[in-house]
Amino acid sequence: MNDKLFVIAVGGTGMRCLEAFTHLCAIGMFDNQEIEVLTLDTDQNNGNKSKVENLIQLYTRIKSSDGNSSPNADTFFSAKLNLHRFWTNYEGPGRENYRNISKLNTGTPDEQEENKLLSDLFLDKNSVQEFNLAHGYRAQTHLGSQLMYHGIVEAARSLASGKDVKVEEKELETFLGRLEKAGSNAKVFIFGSVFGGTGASSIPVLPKAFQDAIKIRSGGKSSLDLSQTKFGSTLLTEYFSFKKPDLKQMSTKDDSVVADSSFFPLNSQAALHFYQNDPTVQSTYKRLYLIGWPVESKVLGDEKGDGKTITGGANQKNPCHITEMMCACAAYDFFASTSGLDNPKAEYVYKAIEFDNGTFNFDFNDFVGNENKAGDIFANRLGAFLSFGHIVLSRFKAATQNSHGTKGFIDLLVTQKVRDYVTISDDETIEIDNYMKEFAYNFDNQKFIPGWLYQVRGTVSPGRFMFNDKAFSFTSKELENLDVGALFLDESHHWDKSLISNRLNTFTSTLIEKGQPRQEQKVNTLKEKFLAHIYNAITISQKF
Amino acid sequence: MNDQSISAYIISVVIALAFLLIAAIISNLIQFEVGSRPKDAQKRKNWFWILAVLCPIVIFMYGFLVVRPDILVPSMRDKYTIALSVGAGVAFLLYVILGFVLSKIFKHGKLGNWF
Repeated sequence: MNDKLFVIAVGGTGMRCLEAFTHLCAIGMFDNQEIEVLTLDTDQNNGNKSKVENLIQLYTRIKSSDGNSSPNADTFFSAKLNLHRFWTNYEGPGRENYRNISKLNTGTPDEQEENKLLSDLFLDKNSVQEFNLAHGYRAQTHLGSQLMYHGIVEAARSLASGKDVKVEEKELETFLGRLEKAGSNAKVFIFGSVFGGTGASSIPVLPKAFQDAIKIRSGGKSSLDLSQTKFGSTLLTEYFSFKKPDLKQMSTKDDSVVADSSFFPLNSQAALHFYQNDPTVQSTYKRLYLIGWPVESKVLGDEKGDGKTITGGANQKNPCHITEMMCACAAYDFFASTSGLDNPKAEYVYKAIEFDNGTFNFDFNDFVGNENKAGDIFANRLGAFLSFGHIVLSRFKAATQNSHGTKGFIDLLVTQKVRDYVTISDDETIEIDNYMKEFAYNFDNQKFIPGWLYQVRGTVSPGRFMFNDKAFSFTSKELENLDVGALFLDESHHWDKSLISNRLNTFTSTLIEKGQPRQEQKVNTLKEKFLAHIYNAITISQKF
Repeated sequence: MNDQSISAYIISVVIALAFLLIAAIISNLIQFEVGSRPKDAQKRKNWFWILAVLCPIVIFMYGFLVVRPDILVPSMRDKYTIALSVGAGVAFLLYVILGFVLSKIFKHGKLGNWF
């Protein structure tokens, strides 16, 4: 496959979809791929954004401490991720709100009057034009689309001039350069919601904004052919709600507009109508995935307890949801598609999940289908990563007692005189432990902290979620005694055991005797080899 | 070398090989421990050396208590006792040397924990 893959995450929801995508990369769903990732937000300090950026940086360090990693195949952390960060700058004098950034008070009196009339026609004078943009577009998509386009084009102009180029503009330039170079081989997938602010504002304008930015940056010598470059995205409708903002909070100019989740269903409905009919969207996107949560939305709590609705910033760290995982799987489908992306108009796709007795039931095939055995591959790799996580976090006690962790595997191999990985440092093994904590769970003074997969499963529970219920144990006692080789509902994938050998004993024998990395896995760094060794042993044990 | 002495050496070798087999079986029955403080490797090593010590003792006790009383000629009895002592020592060395060789042959396996 010659496709060059690009992923763009926009806004808070987009960041959480990117988090899910990163975990899909970690379990090994994107073999042989070097993926360019762009995080795009108005809110540089957004908690969801910093969380996913830290996660990707951790992912990259796990593959190689010196950045010399490469794409691998059929192993954990197989894709190479290159992170680029861009944010529209709404800090500093003259950039805090729409009124200032659009310079309504400059120009001749006639120009000022015309600009003001035009702005007042589309944007409420006392609220939308006045609120602080640093926390995003607050569900004001008509404002957001204009400003996101402006932000990208402004960066391109800055890059073209070469004067006072900011760090985020340089990162955008690298991303745009690779997009331009990939040309018709580029597959670009955009994560964002259609019901909120930043993501909903950006999805319709991003292809055009990138096209114009590339043209401006190159002085008109280069462009992006939107009929050849394949753009895909999710149309993610509302799946969570939060406390209604009170009048006290909205009394300040900065917070005069606060997203009200009671309007999310209406926003979604309007957005879907727009995406169904807008000719620009239809001509710039090849495929759009309709994803929603057709039951009562989960209410996000206010853990700080100060009664304020969180509009953004470092405090915005929402729990993960299965719809975000479905978005990541939509990206997998888009990238894996070898046909159907040459159509001149966008294709709208959707699927349904089994709903029984008030709960959803998810199997592996529901996430990635089973074309080319994708469902089996997904089951193998997610199951292997979860088993690996349980061993590291509970058997080797990285989570339950903050000790050993991945180093336990290396020590175990050394005990059996396999010394291939002794030069992996303690700090490097701790990074793998930390990733597993983000993926599965952690303990903070005996308090269980669910990681990504546990949070996702929590949104489905008590419905079926691929593995048996014991796979999601959460007390330290249950976890330490968990049979990590029997997580699947299908017993044919349980690790072997006999009268004289338990599953872990059989697995360890496999690890020592048969786990060595193979040439076709293309692993280069020592850590890649180590992870492939673990992956191979678990995969053989699972009998995939 | 008389028949009794030869039988002492044969018994020593057979018992040494039997003890080695027992050590190998016990080592394989001890499960790999995947945990923060694994003790399985040390257990295998301990069992190997416990059997190493027991091997000459069992040989000597067997010969001394079971075979020796049936030897009626005092001079033959003395020669048998000497052969039994040498045989026990040889059995110990044989057990350790063969154990070392097996440990190196199966160095990544459970027998590899012996040395």
